[in-house]
Amino acid sequence: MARLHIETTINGEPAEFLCDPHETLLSALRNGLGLTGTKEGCSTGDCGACSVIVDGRLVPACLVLAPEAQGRTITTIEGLSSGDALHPLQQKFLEHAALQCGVCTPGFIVAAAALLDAKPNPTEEETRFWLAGNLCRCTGYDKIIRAVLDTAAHIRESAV
Amino acid sequence: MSIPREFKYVGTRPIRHDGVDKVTGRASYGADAAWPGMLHGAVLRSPHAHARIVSIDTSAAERTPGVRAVVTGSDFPETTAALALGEAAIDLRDISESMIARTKVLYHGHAVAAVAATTFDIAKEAAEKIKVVYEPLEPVTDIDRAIAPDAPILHPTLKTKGAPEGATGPTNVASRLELKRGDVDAGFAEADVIVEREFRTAMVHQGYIEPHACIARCGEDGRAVVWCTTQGPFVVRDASAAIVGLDPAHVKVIPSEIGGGFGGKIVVYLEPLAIVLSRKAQRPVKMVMSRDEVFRATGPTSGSKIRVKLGARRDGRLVAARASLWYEAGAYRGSPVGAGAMCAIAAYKIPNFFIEAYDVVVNKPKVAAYRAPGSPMAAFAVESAVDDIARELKVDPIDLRLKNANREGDQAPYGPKYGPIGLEPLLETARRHPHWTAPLGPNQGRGFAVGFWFNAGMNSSATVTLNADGSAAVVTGNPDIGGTRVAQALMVAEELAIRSSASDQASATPTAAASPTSPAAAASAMRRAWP
Ligand code: FES
Ligand code: FES
Repeated sequence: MARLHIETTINGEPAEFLCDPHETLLSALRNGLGLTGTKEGCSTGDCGACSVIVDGRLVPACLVLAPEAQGRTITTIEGLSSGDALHPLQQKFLEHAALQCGVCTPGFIVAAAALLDAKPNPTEEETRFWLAGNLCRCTGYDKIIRAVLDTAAHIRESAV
Repeated sequence: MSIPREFKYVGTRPIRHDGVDKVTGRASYGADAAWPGMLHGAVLRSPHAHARIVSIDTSAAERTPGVRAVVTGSDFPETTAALALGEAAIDLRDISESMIARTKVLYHGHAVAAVAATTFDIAKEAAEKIKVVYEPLEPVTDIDRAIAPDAPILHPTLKTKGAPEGATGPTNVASRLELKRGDVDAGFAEADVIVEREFRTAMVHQGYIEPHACIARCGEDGRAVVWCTTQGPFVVRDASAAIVGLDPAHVKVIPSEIGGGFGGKIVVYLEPLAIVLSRKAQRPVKMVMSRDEVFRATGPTSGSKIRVKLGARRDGRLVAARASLWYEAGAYRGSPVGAGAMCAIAAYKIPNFFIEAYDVVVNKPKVAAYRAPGSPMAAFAVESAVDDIARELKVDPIDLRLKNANREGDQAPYGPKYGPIGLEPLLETARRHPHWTAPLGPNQGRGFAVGFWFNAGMNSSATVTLNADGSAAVVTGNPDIGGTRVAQALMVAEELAIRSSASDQASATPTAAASPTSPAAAASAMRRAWP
């Protein structure tokens, strides 16, 4: 079966890869491009570990076909920090100890980044609802929610 | 109970050493690594919960272009070795057969064959071409069926360890033990209230978000290197070596970061398969489970049936307890029912008790450790009964527990005298807490329960190196399962009275470079550093 050549933009840079027609975006990112920060917990859209942002929309990469990346703009966890500084969400996750094993963490941070892009001032309920598609087996969620709300407050303050 | 001294570092919350790697996605978990030239493995699993394997024909898979190796149960030697292990003992023959079936499949999802090929898709498709002829047998999926006189038998040679004299014949009961003290009948005779109930709990999976994954490479010299996600790299080394027939010194395990385990990542499932596939193919072999495989074929905790009878005097003193526990072991013996029996009433001073515990095999995956293995189901049953007593006597559930709480110096139901235990101050604190009396809102409820666990550290070791700048580096053989590095660093800082210490990439420490450490030691280190 011929492999497809896909051209796309990942974390602000042009990227290309070869994939099988049935391959998932998750597999293309992890295996084709070596971007293993996006995790696989279920491959059925249930856990959120594979969260990425495609054209501004939060999606589970395990439910997107790799060829669908053609011509799109994709943000993964690797694209959030700026090289010498962490994204405020990353910093707040550390300060709030919002991770234990950390395997769900990239998915949560990407999902929360999409939330704060859409809604800079979310309520606790909105935050919990938005992150309901991300499963964490270790933390009990509370510190994650606090870290996200604290990030939102921090971003608002520094914008003033 | 008092905390012996004031701590300077222990109890503080510095940002963890592995934090930046984990929030940026750089940390490397089991499935994140790739080795040059590696093949991909896939497992063929049984569609039956209980069946005899009549024949396996792997020829179509072997002929598939891209396939480099195929293994079945016959590629693994018989082993009779056993591995002593902290919170659960490991019988390696059972682990080996649970990892890949020989003459019978004993649970839905039991591995029957494995294939290594140039891509995962090829491996998976080739595995499906393997022809297995099964003779399906009646599956035994619950305790009642398993202990019925006419039950289908999983293991014809199984005998009940600890069975009363004279018990003969095939059985699904792998062991029976009892704990007793005083005169139970006399105890119940002097009770003013008696509660008797039966409880059932289902098998529950640990549900770690990261599926099992490994890469193994077996070289021309026969030595193996294994990268894998595990709570116990030394267990993986020793178990894999015994299962594939290597000297443990010839197996090096490199633990990856671990995406949760909760007791379920101590057993080996993929590693020996990958080693033997690699040995046949002379290439590294990567294997990653799907979520479906994790749920079908890796260790959950036991489902249980528990009968509890408690008797108390009108003043609230518990005077007698009787309990029978049956725990599902899964397909091979070794449920944590013994721990369940020891923990069941361990919180309470009860002068007369009789507890019996049965380890029962059923056609489900072999159980693995799961957060205080064996204790939660027993606690659920006993605590529910304690609440019933409180209701009957119309007393506060915390007061009732305080009245019966074991204290330092009391004798545990399983023998020894307790050292310092915090139950009484804990109950006092809970009783004083505003949450205990705050009015309940709509859809809110409130309950109270006590649990017991032993907190054994088993064998553990660490190497601490002092650096020229006065800092220290710590190397242990434990993966960091949620803060172990920082916990160990804080303890070292405290003991050496230095400002900080860098706990080394404990999880990057291969077994060849660290000293043996049991999986329980990591959990216990964290409990000590974050009181
Ligand atoms: S791996 Fe995509 S949602 Fe779980
Ligand atoms: S931190 Fe382990 S799953 Fe969330």
